[in-house]
Amino acid sequence: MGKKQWAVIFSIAVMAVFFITGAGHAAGGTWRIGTIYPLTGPLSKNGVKNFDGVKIATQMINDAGGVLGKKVVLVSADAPNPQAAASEANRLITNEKVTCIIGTQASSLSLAATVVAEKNKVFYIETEGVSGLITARGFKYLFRTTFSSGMMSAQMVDYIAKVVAPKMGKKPYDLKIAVIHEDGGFGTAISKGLKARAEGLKLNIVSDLSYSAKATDLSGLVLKLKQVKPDIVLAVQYINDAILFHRQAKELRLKSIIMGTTAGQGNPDFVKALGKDADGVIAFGIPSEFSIKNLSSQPKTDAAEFVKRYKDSHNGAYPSPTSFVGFAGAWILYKFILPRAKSLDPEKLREAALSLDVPKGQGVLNWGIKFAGPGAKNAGQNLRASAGINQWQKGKLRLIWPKEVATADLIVKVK
Amino acid sequence: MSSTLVVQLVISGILLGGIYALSSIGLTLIFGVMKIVNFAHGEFLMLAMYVSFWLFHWAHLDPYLSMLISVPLFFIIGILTYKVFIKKTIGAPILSQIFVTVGLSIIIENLALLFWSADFRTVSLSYLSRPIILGPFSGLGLEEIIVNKARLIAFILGISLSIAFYLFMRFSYLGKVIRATSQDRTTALLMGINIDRVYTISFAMGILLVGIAGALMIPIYTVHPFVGFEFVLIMFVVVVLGGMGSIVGAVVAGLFIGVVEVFSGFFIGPESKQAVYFLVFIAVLVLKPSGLFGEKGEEELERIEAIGE
Repeated sequence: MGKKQWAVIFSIAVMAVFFITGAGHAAGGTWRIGTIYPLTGPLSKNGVKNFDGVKIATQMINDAGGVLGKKVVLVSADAPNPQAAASEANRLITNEKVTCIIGTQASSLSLAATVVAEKNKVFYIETEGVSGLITARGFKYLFRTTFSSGMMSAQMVDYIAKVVAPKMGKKPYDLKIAVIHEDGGFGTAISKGLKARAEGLKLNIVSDLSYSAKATDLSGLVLKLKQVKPDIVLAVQYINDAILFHRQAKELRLKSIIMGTTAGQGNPDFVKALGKDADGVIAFGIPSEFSIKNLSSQPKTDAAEFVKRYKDSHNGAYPSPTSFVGFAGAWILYKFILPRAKSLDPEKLREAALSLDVPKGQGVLNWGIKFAGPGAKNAGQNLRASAGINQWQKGKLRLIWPKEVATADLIVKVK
Repeated sequence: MSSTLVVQLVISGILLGGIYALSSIGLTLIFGVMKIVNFAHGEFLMLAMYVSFWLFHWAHLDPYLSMLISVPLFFIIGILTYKVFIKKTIGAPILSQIFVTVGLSIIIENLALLFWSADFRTVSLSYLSRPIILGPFSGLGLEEIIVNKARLIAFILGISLSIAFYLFMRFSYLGKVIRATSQDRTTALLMGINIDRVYTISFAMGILLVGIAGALMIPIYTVHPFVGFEFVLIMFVVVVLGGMGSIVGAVVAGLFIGVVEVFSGFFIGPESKQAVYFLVFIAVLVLKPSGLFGEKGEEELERIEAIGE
């Protein structure tokens, strides 16, 4: 064979390699990772923020030389609704040939997209959807880096026992705790988590009441609570019934400390409706703010870099917690999972993720990394992530827990 | 079980019932006179709450004063709604009447969603924030009783309005004409009554009444595009229980449902209060199908012939 023939064969071979590896992306040495977020439509407000965190994490890792010398390339998809989430997951997997996806911000979208990924054995990182259902399905390739709704409830109850009780000058089991919740799926699920944890810690639940979120009057409920005189009322409510409850509780002089969720008491409309009366009310769930001052060494450096880049690209605005958890999800993939797996093969990614055991405070933000293994009730859940506990203080919702990222201290006023 | 608590529950229940009665009078008027079930009534209530909210928000107008604007406004809205949507369905099969009012409710709800978004909006009035404290009445063995000012105002105005309205229907010429039309449409027509005008005025008055209810309710409740849906079911219960078309019935039934709701919410549990008042509702209807104050046969939806031009 002459030189010319060799050249022809060589170029055919090169082209073949290009085709097989998906139009040559791998040939240049990159990691192709799919992303699915609601970038348009009603969920896009937070979807874009969450995805911003992922994008900045990607820039950071690429500017630092990539992962194992190869740069990360994101193949982005927009999923305004669950149908789109499922079809975009399909498109990323079959057309774009990605084997690893980061998504999806909203739980409803996550539930749809992850089914497709799991069916195709594609590795999936959920960065923000908190619904307990996501990890309750026993999926093998799904990993949630952020906290779940169940962890939110457990951490709230722990906080009552460890911080609130001493601050009120009481032993945890001397506290009288009442649970009230709207009787839909949201209220029932979250309150179940609260009660289970409280029973586990042998706390004293004095009453447990449910009502319809469409109620036009809650005076019976308030008077019933008033009779048992709880120190703390854990109230799992939406915004409308939360406003009604707080108004009637104030008027009928219920003197308990009220702790709700960020879906109800944490909503900005809550403070608009209640004004000064919102002060002191606690809302657990999604952190309202994030301070990186007190993080430990490496996570602090990473987070500071993230904040700097975010501010540079957003006219000096400080990132919201949604962007922080987006960053954290991608960062866990780039810094911890991918370097161990050394490949985008879902089996290897999965093994790497399951082998991680990073203590709290040494992963990213104030989190550690330890995923619940297969067979666990919440397989794939990062057990060392933390939710947030916020408190209205002078009209502002401040983060009071976890301490490492908090922006204010708990204020307890015994009424 | 202290007596203070019972008194407190009764007062809370009666005040809540006042709100139910207030929001239902317009519905019972429209039904009584025109035999039209206005499924959009809750949405008109929602609109009324929004009108008072925006007047407060943009013009800092006190919700109680905003009634000066919403009364004529809703009278006009009532006339227009009647002329454009309702008039054509008089005499049409009941199903098409239902479709028109249900369709109207969906349109209003979605327009509200489009223009004002799904945010929850409230009016907070500083002079209402502290409740009235009655007692303690040591002679009666009662401790302090707490009364919400905004609910008390809604109750007093609502009941006065109902009485005034009742007197108007009973003694004024127009009231007599309206009653005559509702009792026997054909004879009224033969007596030279302009049925179309009676219907226009009745419908407009029904909408006007819900306009007043909206202004009285905005200091108490949050307004959002779906707030009408939260009240409309209870309005129907009140109207049917009281006897369709009966103003006295609507007031009595409203107060009754309010008290039942608060008591069952306390003694049985807040989750079951709807079940309890529906049980009471069904029991009353089994014993007296025309409702507490309804005239016999009033519950039958008779078909009315179309109004001639």
